[in-house]
Amino acid sequence: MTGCFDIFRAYLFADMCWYKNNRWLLFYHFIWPYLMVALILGFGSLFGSIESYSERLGVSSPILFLLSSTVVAMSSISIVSSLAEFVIENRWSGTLPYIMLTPAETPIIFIAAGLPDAIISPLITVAAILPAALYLEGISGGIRILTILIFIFLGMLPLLGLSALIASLTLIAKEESNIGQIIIPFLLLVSGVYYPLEILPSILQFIGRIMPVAYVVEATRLFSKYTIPEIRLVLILIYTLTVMTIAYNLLASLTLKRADRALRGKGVI
Amino acid sequence: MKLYKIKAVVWLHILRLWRYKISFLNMALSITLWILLFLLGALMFTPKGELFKAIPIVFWGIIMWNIMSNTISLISGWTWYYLSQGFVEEHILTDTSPFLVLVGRPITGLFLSALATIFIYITLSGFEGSPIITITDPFILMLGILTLTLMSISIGLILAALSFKTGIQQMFIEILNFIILIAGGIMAPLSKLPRFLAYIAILIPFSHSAELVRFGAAGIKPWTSPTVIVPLSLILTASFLAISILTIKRIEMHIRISGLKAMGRM
Repeated sequence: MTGCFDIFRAYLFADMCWYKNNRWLLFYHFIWPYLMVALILGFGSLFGSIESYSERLGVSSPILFLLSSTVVAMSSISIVSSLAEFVIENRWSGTLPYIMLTPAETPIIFIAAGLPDAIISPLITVAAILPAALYLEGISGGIRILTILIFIFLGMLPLLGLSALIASLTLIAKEESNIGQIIIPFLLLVSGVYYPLEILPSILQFIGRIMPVAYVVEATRLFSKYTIPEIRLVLILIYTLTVMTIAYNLLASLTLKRADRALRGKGVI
Repeated sequence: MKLYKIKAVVWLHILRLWRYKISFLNMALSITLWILLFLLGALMFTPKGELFKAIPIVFWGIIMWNIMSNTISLISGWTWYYLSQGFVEEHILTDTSPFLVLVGRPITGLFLSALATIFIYITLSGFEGSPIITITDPFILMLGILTLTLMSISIGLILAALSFKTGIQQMFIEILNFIILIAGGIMAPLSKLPRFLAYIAILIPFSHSAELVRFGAAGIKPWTSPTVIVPLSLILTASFLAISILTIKRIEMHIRISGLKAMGRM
């Protein structure tokens, strides 16, 4: 019987081949964080200075923070969008019904198929900014970036259930493009990727506090502020993300079954 | 070209716009949120107390980038869908140029830019500061926007045509949009850019239209006299339109002889 691991392995192989045959895609992942940071730096320099940015965010290494935040942003994009894009592309190609005919349950297929890209993409992005981190901060910068990668993976776990729900919604809506894509910039906006959460209205701050990405960004800020942050603060972030993983995936598992029934009931698949 | 075909293309794109209204609204809101995300990040560079004074300066920059990126990506980026559905062959079989359908794509792009502009205006109005929209010379402003739009449509069509034979990826278009935004003199007047970037920006055709827009909107003097920039922008726009028509004709001839490079999914 086709299990979750078989689907994961098949899509991991497919994704690796996709990257191997699309060198542009690799180039894109390498250049994108630098372009985003260049945009913010260029845009920000019109208004003020990097010193003001450093002071406002309370980080000692603003460039490293911007680069790490961009990795968090890009990873969140890839996690949330990979599942929805998987279903849309297969619907376009007419292969979705065949994929759905496999014995595994729909939510499992969605998550297992989107997971490889959600893992590969942050790895490539971190590899892309690693030289800059080493250049700016030496070995300590490199270690901090790798630690942030661990937080990205921790933050990814609660996002998986949410992503599967977005993919189901996209299929039910029968639109041409991924209508869930609005969630990505909203998620980043309320998580304070490039600014402190405190500047947002209180309702957005509240939404941000219940989003896992905000805690990954917090970890990024912590590692950009101190070379070795206080272990207590790091543990608080790890505990929060663990609780969120359990809560979000529990909620998603309950909702996804209904979404699966709705998909089959509407004859979408 | 028969008039009913043009009417059919316009009808198709308006119908699609209505049919995919949720996607359309979703895209307009997404653009606004992305811009807000970067804007809030960039505003953190401003010393305390001067936070929102800078907003009117960037409003027109955002509008120009919005027009440019939406038009280019919604024409050239759409070929992925267009090709994967096999629509090119269908149009050729009914003796209709597949590019005629693409020429209608600016309808979607410009509607999207208009809606996103409204959302951005509403969002920026929420910040304290001086009035967001200023107009000093409406004729120059309109000319700047018109040349920028026509150049964007031309580049979108050139990239779309090339994607039929070379498989241009969506990411290439995104990178192109970003580079033009950073180095193309769209967000900032050329006089404010570092010297090496200003030289690069002069070589990017959009920068001249952007200088006209800023001159018409806020009276910011362009890098050289407007009497030079106006004809220069018009000549560049005409050249791009001519190049796009030639590219389309050449590629269409090629695909009728040797077929598409991208069959099905690219």
